[in-house]
Amino acid sequence: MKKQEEQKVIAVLQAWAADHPAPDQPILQLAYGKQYSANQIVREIRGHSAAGQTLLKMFDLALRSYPLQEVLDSFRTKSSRQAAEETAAVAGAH
Amino acid sequence: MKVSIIRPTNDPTAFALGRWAPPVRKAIKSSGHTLCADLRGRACTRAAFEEAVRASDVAFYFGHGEYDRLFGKASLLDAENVEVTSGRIVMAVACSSARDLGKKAVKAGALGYLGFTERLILPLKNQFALGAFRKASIAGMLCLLQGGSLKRAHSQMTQAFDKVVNYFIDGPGQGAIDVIHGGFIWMSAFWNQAHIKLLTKKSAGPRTRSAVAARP
Repeated sequence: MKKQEEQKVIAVLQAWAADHPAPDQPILQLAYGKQYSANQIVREIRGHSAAGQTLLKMFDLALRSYPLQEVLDSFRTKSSRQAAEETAAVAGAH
Repeated sequence: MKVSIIRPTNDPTAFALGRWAPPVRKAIKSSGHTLCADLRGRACTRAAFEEAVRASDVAFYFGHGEYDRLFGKASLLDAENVEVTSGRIVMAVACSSARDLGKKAVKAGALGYLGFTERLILPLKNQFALGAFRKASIAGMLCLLQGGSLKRAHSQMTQAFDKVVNYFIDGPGQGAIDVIHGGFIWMSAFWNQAHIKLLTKKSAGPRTRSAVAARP
């Protein structure tokens, strides 16, 4: 994954974790036994731990088949998706 | 055919995966096959595992795995005893084992090994999604029990995960079912699907089918 893509993924996940109603409750399990909350997911990815690297590989795999925007949008609510689109449109106009 | 289910249930994750076995157990009986063993918990020792596999044409495993072994409290299948799979089919709902152990099993004479080559990633909060993951993970087993070939079982499993991906990325699940977790649900389904691997000897397909059909 390109560094720029990784930074975008982390930024979207940070916003996603900040909006999460229970950011410290486990939501994802790597089936060797460890469970991760939204906040932990962000920490693991930022820290490039073994779990973080697996999660980054998961994003990398998705990005080989789906556009970055589509991947990132699936972590945004409708309102934040609209806000992101507006920001991109404004940035594009300048 | 003679079928064994092996589910170590030695910790919460293995226990959760073991709970995916009942529909398979039901299908074994309803489709006229023989359930040789349903090993779980403390009964799931290495010796009992080997005995169950030897007595079976097909072994279905639900539990922990690594690249080179399946394990509960102790190692159950690894390079040291992989020859017990010779002449048999193994399907493993477990992390990573299809990568190295699967290759070793086929090299040791297994007719086929269907499993995952990387860590499984599972959503926890959405029961609907978890149910879909369960269905997808056992789709290959159910297909085989209904007389499908290994190739068809592999294809059914892949398609079932595909359905989960499509449902959550741009189907009714997008935003509607789980706004917060939808992203990780489809991506983990996509990840799991990408790491499904069927290993066979080139001639295993037709031979497997006739071998399965010949043994009631």
